[in-house]
Amino acid sequence: MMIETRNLYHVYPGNVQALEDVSIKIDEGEFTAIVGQNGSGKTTLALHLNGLLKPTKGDVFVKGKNTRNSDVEELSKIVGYVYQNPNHQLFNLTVKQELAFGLKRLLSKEETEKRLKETVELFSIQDILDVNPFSLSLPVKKIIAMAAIHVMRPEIFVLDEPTTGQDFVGMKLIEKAILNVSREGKTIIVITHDMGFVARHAKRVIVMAEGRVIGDDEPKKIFDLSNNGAKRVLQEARISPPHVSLLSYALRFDCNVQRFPTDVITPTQFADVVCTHKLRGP
Amino acid sequence: MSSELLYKPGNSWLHSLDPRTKIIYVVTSTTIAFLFFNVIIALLICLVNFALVAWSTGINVVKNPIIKLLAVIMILNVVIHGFANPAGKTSVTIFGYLLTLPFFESMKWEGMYFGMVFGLRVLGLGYGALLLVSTTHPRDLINSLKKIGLPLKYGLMLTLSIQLIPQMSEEAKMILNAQRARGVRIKSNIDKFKALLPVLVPLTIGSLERMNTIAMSISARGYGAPIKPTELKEIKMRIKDYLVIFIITISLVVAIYIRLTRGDLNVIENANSFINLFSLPL
Repeated sequence: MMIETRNLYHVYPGNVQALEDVSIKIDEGEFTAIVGQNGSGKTTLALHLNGLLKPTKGDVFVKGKNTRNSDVEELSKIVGYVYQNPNHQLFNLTVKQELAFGLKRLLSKEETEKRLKETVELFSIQDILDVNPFSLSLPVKKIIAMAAIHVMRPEIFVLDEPTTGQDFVGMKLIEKAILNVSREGKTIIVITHDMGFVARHAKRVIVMAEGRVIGDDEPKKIFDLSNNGAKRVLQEARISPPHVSLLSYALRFDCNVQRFPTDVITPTQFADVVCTHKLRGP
Repeated sequence: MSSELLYKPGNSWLHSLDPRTKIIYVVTSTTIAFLFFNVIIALLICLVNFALVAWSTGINVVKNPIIKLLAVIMILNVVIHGFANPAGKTSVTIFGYLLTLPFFESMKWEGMYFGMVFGLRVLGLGYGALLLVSTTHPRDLINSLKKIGLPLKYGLMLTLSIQLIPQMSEEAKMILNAQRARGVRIKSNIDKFKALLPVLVPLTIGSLERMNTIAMSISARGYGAPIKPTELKEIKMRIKDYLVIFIITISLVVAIYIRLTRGDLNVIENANSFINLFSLPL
C-alpha cells in the first residue's frame, strides 16, 4: 500500500471544514485522478500526502509512515508534489542548475550527472539545459518543474492541475511527460478538471464534493451515465463527463441506437466501437 | 489571512468615525505625549489608545504580534536606557542586589525613567496607528489622505501596495511550501535564511508580472484620463466627528497651557525609586 488515509478530517482556521471522513487507499503504480469542483478538498487532500498539511483528525500513511510523525523534507523523498504554477518552484539561472538543486546535497558529482542524464532523456529537455527557466513557455516550465521533482526519484508523483491553461501542443507535451513517468512504475495522482485527460489516462477516479469522497471507481464506471449511481455522483460533484460519454449516452438513449455501449469514454474507444461494427444487431 | 492587512471589520463607534478624525486624534495624542517628559502622561495616552484598540476591534491584546512587538520595543528601551543612559545616577537594587551587565555600570532609575518615557511614547504612537488602521478600511484611509491633499498617483500607489503585501505574503507561503516539497529543509532560522533565494526569486518575478498586468489593466480602464475621478464611496465628516475633534482640540489646548505654565513635568531628577518614577508635579 503506497498511500492510505483513515477517516481523515481537516479543518482550516476559521472553522472551515475542508475534508470530512476521507478514507482511501492507493496502491503502488496506480494512476489516480482526483476530480471535483473548486473548493471540494482535492488540493487539501493532496497536501496531506507530503505532510504540508497535518490531519485535524484521522491519519495519513505514506508507505507505512504516519505523516503526523514525519516532516515534509523526509516525505519529499517519497512524494514529489508538482505545483499548479511552475513559477513557484523554479528559481535557478539555468534548467540544469534547477534540476541539480536538490541532488547536490545528496549525491556525489558522478551520481548527480547520471541522474540528470536519465531525467533529461526521459523529459526530452537536452536542448534547453543552459536556458533560464523563466524565459521558457508555460508548458515547458511545467515540464521542468516535473523534471526537477523526478530527478529526486520520488515513488509518488502528485500533480496539481497539470494541464490547466495549456494550449493543445502544451497539453500534449505535458501528457507525454506524465505518461513517461507513469511507465516507470511511479504512483501518479493527478488533481484535474480535465475530464478528457482523466478518461484517456487514469485507471481510477476519486470524485470529491464538499470535502468528502463521493465516488471512487474506474473512469468508465464513473462516467457511465446509464448508471443512476454514477449519474448522481457526477451531479453532486457538478462534473460534466467527457464529450464522448455524453455522445455515447445520446446515441443510446436519445437516438435509440440500442446496442451502443454507454461506457465509451475516449475517442479511440468510440472509433473502435463504430469501426469494429459492434453496433450491428438484429 | 487578512486580505486588508490590519483592518478588522466591525461596527464599533470608532469604525464609524471619519478617518480624518482618527488621523487628527493620533497626531494630537502623539503631540501631547511629546509635549511632556513624564511617564504618567505617556502611560495614560498609551493606555487610552490600547483600550480603544481592544474595545473597538476585539484584537487579542495578549496574542497580537504587533502588540507583542511594541511591548518588546518598550522593554528594550527601558533596559538599554537603564544601563546606558548618561542621565543615570541612582542604582536600582532588588533585595539589596545591583542589576548589572558586563561592560556596563549597574542599572539606574533615571535611565529607566528616560527609557520608560521614550518607550511609552513610541508605544502610544504605535497603538494610535494600530487604532487608525485596524478600524479604517484601507480604501477609506487612502480616500481621506487624498482629501487632505495626497496626489491621486500616490493614493493609487498606496492602494496597490496595501493589496500587494498580503498577496505577497500568501504567495511567499505557497512558494516556501513548494520548495519544502522539493526537499528544501526549513526548520531553523538559518534554514530560512538559506531558503531566501528559492523564495525571493519566484516571489519577485511573480510580483513584477502582476504589476505589469495591473498597469495594463488600469490603463485599459481609463487610468490617467485628464479628469478628476469620483470615489465610489465618498467619506463625510458628521456631527460626531466634529464633536470628537472639538474634544481633541480642547485637550490639546489644555496640554499646551500646562506645558507653558508648568513646564514639561520632567521628574527625572527625583526618579530615584520605583514610586518616584510615577510622579506628576502639578
